[in-house]
Amino acid sequence: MRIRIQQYFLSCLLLVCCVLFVTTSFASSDAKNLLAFQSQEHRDRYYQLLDDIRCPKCQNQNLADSDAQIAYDLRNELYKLVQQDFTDDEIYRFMSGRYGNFVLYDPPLNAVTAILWLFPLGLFCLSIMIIAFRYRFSRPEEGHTDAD
Amino acid sequence: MISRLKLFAPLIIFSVIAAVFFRLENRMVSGEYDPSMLPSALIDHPIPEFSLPALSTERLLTNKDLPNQAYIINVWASWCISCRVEHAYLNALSQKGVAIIGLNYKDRPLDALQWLERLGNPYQFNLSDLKGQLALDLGVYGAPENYIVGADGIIRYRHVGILDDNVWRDKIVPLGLSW
Amino acid sequence: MIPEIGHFSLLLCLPLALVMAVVPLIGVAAKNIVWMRFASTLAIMQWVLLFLSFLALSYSFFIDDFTVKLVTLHSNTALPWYFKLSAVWGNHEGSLLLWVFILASWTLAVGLASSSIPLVMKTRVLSVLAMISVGFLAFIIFTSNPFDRSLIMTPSEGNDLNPLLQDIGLIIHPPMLYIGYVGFSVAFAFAIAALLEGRFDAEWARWTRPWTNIAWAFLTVGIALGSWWAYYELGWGGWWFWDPVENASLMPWLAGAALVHSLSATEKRGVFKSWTILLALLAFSLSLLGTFLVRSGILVSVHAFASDPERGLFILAFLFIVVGGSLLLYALKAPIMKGGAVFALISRENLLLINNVLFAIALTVVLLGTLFPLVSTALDLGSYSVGAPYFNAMFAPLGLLTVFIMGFAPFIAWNRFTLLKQQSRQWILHLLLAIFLAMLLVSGLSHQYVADFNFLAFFIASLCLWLAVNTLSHFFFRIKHGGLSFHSLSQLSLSYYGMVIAHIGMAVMILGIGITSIYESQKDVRMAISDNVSINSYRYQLSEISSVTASNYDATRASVNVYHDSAGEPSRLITTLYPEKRFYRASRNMMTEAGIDASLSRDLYVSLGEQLEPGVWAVRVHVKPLVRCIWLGAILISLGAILATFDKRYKRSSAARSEPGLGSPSNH
Repeated sequence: MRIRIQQYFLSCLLLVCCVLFVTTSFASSDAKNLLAFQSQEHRDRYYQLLDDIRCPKCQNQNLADSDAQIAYDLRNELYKLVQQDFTDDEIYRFMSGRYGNFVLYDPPLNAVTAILWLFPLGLFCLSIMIIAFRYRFSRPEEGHTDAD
Repeated sequence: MISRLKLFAPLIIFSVIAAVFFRLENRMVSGEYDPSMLPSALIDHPIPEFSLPALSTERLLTNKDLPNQAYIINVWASWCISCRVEHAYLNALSQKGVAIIGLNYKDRPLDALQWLERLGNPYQFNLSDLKGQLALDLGVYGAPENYIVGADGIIRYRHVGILDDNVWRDKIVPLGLSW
Repeated sequence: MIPEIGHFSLLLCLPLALVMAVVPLIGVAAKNIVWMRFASTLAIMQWVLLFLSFLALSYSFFIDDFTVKLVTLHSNTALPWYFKLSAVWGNHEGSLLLWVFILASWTLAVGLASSSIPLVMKTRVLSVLAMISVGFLAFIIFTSNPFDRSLIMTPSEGNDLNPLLQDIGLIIHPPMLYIGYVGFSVAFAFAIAALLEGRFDAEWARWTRPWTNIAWAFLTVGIALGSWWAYYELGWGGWWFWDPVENASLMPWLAGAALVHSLSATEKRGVFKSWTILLALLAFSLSLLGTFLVRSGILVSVHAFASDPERGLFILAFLFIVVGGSLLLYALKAPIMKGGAVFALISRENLLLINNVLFAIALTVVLLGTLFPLVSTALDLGSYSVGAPYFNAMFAPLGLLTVFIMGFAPFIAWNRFTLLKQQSRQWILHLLLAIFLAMLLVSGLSHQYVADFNFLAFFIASLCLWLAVNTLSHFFFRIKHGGLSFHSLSQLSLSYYGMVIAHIGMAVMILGIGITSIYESQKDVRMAISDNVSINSYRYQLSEISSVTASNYDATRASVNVYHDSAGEPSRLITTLYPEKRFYRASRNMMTEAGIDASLSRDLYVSLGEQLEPGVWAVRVHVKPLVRCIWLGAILISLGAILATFDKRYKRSSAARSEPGLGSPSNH
């Protein structure tokens, strides 16, 4: 009699276990984000900064894309800095203070890099002035539409 | 006349660019310039603050434990194959009296100690940088790397890659430090 | 045996090219027709020899001839045959042989096809092409010989072809690109010939146009293919990185775009001769510059060939002679515009001038941004890097301004344009239509991707749609009398169709670039089997992880189901994607293959990261709206350029084909 109760009990236990197993294996959960952030804003900043910093080893990839060990380490560091509410500027200075200006995709604005911005802008203004100036004295003949 | 001179502009611009390339190429041929090597951002700066355990004793070391004479900080690891190639030269240097401090970079202390037993220990002591924190502050991006530090604790030069006699002669001796 | 034949053919080419560079020009000076016509014969001979050489190298790769060092370094017996063949150009030496073979092909084409060009000019063109050939052949033979053998201790197996290159992209991208780069040498040669002869008239422009158009078309396709290849192969969803080598291909493209349009003005109205000649010289010079940057070792790039600085010096010397020499010739002999302009402020000439200026500025931006890091290092001014933020910031306003001006282009007449009231009304209608469509598009996108209505996207979409609407309406205006009948359609020249299609292509491309940059979204998550991640209404579910073995790699493959969830409707399975992480055995390289569901309206993109713990993987998912439009636009642009090449006015003098001697067609 007792053996039969034991058997009965064990079979129930087994059945319950099976049911539990089966139901949980069908449960699908929402994938957790790879990294947990304090806020969406923190997350957005992190991803933006990943794109803006060059990997010092794989020099034509940003931190987001590089598979190098140092990129992995710098991503972790960046995560920590963002979570600690460092501003973008402070983070750029952190990185360039250790790895040089080279790791910033957007070079800092100084006397040397100013030429990158001023030269094309200057060229543009110069061109507009020349074109406008030349046509003050033009006398065109009758035009014809040759829309080819 | 002026219009004719304007036409020389493209040639002049091109000549400047070609001259720049020529200079860079020459530097590459002489080994002075390697585009994949980043110049260190810490030249003329002191060693960053750190607090790391020594490799062998696990006693916590800080900046105060650094030597008062000129020394080299050698970034190495047991998983780094190039470091093995470099090691014989480091042994030779330390026998000549050059002070070398090791920065064991992202390594397992046991593996590192075994490595040193097998290949010799040129280091005054080793800092065990498991997480690469000091390395990050120094701007290390691979191993081996060597930081040449003066007696005043200011970094004078960083060499990326294997340290050998050529580098010593061409780059380190000219710094004028007393070893 | 075969490699020997290949090598020997290659060696023979050098003296041949030298003869071709010198003798016909002597013939021009001495007015000796026989010596001048010799150029075409030499062109045929050179092509045959280089074809043999290239064939020999390809054969060596195909049969795994490891006595040829190149095969050992870049190929492997386990490689599929089509990759063995494309491995021929997947390396420095082989790609140079391809380059010089393509140069010989273009030279041959010029030699055979241009019977309408007077013999003197044609001879000069062929000789200049031969001079370029001499430089490249010398470079190959003396520093980068593909036929180097290792006859003692021949290895029994090769290294592998870099896994990144084991893709259909390698089979087509470099040849297309080279056909474009090298094709600009023809325009270059025409420009040199013009400078030597002192002849820059409309007829010269007419001869040069088809060669320029088709070279530019190939370059467009080549660059688009490169972008598309990087997108799906590199596994991160980027399609342009402002990598120095990519920039090196963009610069000739920009110069070529300006050249194609400037030639039109020179041909139709005889203006901009100086600009046109300079652009023709620049386009090829920039191609050569690109060659230097990639092969000299001066830049670090995933695209750069492993090369040594001594080769770099050789190429630099060559660059100096060719580019410096041509620019000097330009400075001394280019035509000077006398007096002021003879066309109105609002005229097609002026629009084309503005076009030239805008492209020149864009070119300057790319050149400046790419060379700045090198220059600042050379002059010890510090180590800087210039990347996407700079280039994007400069290109955005330039690109949009260009699109805006293009919208007016077909309507503005040569010489002078007077705005009629009905025309201005029509344009306002077009603008309203474009704004309306843009509103629909951006609202739709905002709704779909649960984002705010983005005004920048709206602005970009309005401009692009306005360009498309304007261009199309001009087309319909042209055929309004005949309607869509074959008769009226065939009245329009191929050149015109080329313009319509290319300009619409530009609108499509810029639209794709703008929308994708603003509305793309991605997420990095950790996923276990049956986990889900959603981006807006798309839900990605990891359903399975399996192992795959191929001939030269082992891979972990994930099966990711993609569902479309919308409120009130059941989930709909769209597709299953199979991103992989591959391990190539021979080279021991790891590579990510993305899983992509492509469609014109959006791309769904999944890439597999590393295994974080047993059963859990890092996965990156993207949704990219309208990204295919970028490449569709580029294809349309090159299609337009190809159509324009075959316009019948370039075949005008076929009647005079049988005329021998100097006095062929044009006598001015």
